[in-house]
Amino acid sequence: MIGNIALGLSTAFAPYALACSFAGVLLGNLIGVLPGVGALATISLLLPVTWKLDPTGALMMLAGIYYGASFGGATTSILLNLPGTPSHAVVCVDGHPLAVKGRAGAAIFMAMFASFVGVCAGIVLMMLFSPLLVDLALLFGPAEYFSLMMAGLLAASTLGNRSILKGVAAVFIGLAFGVVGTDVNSGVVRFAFGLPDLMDGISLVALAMALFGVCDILANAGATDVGTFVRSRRIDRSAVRPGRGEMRQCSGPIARGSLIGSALGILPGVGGVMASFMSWAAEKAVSKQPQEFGRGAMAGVAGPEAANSSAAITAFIPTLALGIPGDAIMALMLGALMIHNIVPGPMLLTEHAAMFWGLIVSFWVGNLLLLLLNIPLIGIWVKLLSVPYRLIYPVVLFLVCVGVYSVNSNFFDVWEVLVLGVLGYLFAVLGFQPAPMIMGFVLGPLIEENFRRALLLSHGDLSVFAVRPLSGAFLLAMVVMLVVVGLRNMRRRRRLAGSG
Amino acid sequence: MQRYGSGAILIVLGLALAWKSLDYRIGVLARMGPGFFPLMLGVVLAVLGLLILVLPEDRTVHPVADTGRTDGTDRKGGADGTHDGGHTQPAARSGPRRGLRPWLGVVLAFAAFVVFGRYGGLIPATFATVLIAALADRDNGIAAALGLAAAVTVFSVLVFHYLIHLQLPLFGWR
Repeated sequence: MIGNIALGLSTAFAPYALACSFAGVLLGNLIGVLPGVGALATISLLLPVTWKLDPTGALMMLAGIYYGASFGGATTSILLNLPGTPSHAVVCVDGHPLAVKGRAGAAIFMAMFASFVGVCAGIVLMMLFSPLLVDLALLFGPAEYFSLMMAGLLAASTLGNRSILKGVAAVFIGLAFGVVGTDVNSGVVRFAFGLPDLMDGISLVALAMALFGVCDILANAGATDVGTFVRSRRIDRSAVRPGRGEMRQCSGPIARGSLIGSALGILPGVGGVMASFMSWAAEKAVSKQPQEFGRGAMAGVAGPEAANSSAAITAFIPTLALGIPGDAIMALMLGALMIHNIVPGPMLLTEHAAMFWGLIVSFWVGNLLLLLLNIPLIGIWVKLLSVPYRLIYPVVLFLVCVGVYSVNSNFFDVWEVLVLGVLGYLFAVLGFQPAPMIMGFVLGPLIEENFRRALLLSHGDLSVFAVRPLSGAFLLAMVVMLVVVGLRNMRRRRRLAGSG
Repeated sequence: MQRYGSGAILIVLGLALAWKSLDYRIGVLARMGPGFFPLMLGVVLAVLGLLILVLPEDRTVHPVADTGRTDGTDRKGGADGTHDGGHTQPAARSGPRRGLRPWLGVVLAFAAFVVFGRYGGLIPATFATVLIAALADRDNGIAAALGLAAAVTVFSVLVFHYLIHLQLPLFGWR
């Protein structure tokens, strides 16, 4: 183990490798800050550049872009309420209110720090437990995925600080949005209203931009009592750094977030999104001040960011160890490897040990570089907030247009964003929060797919969800969560009725 | 009231979804057709809508009386004034009426992006979009709007064209 780490260190700290890492991280961070243009787009665009590099350098650069973009996404979520990637939607929920309160710098710093810790935790876990984690991933059949995602949906419905009922409803509205498109199992096109552009379903980027960004713009543009984002003239120290007490308070959320993220990151596809939502719900559940969540709780930024980042690291495991990419980004990484004639899989560790361990150490190095890069940037971001809102929102609107357009080079997506934005505004006015909707939308198709697959395999036997141990455990956890929340609500109602 | 609106819209949405899903094959549990899941969803949505209409409003969840608005900020204001007013989530304001202009401006700005983008290219699209969006706010004078549009156009050419190679020519038909 030590020998491997030493090997990794020597590989990663070679000046050339360091340069690749740095370039990747810088590019990724800058581009990640632009809403909509995410890691996937950046990686695909820069892939040809990496062909000229050697495999180690190429992979380090790509990985750097990946988490650089991920981090940039957190910045936009906090400052502009625009999630850079779906897994950052939850950071908007508490991060943006913090920015409005004048604590954008503190929020960004905490996000950065939590990210870094999450990455370190992910790396350690990956180094020590790769084989175990892989075994865990292999235990997950469709029934387990279904139950886990149901638990995730329940967690998502707590995302509203309004009534649970509306939270659940918001999740289901998201599920309904997810139904639009081609059904995976049968190939039938559903609810596309005859529009060929909808055959692939509603674009996730469009929905996220619409529900968070456009909604916001519609609500606040032109309103005469919106001055700057933040009214306060004194941006004091507490705005730029979290207080020491806060850092200590957030150590718990960060630790829990890292664990949740590392565990869920292994699951191909949904890892990051679910990890961040679950972490948020978990923090709200264990917090002594749950009513703060959704209105600027630091733990609501720290936990999910740690979860996000550790999930991003452990997401590499199935790709590198099994040769099975978890999502599109991993598929690109896999592609990059194959172009350089390296076949991922169990043999990777033995045949290309230097590259593998170098890569792992470069994760750490890259994130350290990110941290160093961003500390001075925080001051600039905070200054940005004192620009009057009437000058900011047109730029945001434009960025939304371009961001959404850049995904498919399709103007239809821009119309989509507008329509969904108006719908989203309507829903928000009625009390349905955007974050649970996004979660429902992301998980909907997967839930349906796994539900059908599980029942297909069990020949229609519904008990399969309870009988299989892991699946049953998740369902039980759901029931327990419901009971706990129900009891808590009842107790609070009784207390308020008594004192009222 | 918000409760009636939200409940009603859920019921309508749910019933519509369920109704349209009957167009697709439903199948049985063991071999679900494409219509099964949407049907279930529609039913659940309608039921949720009903529950919202019927159950008393849960006032204990949000002790700060903000008259049923979705609010991302802490509206308890107070002497520090660090976060009163400012930028808030949708529907949190009962302030001065904004009129039609902002809505028109935002919608037209999106439309401008599509129209100018398709027939003009990145530069016209950027300029037009930002200009129209900026003019949606009564407080933006024509000079400010033009200046902002120009600045953003320069930025967008540098970043989106040269750095990211966005699939949109600077000028010209598609």
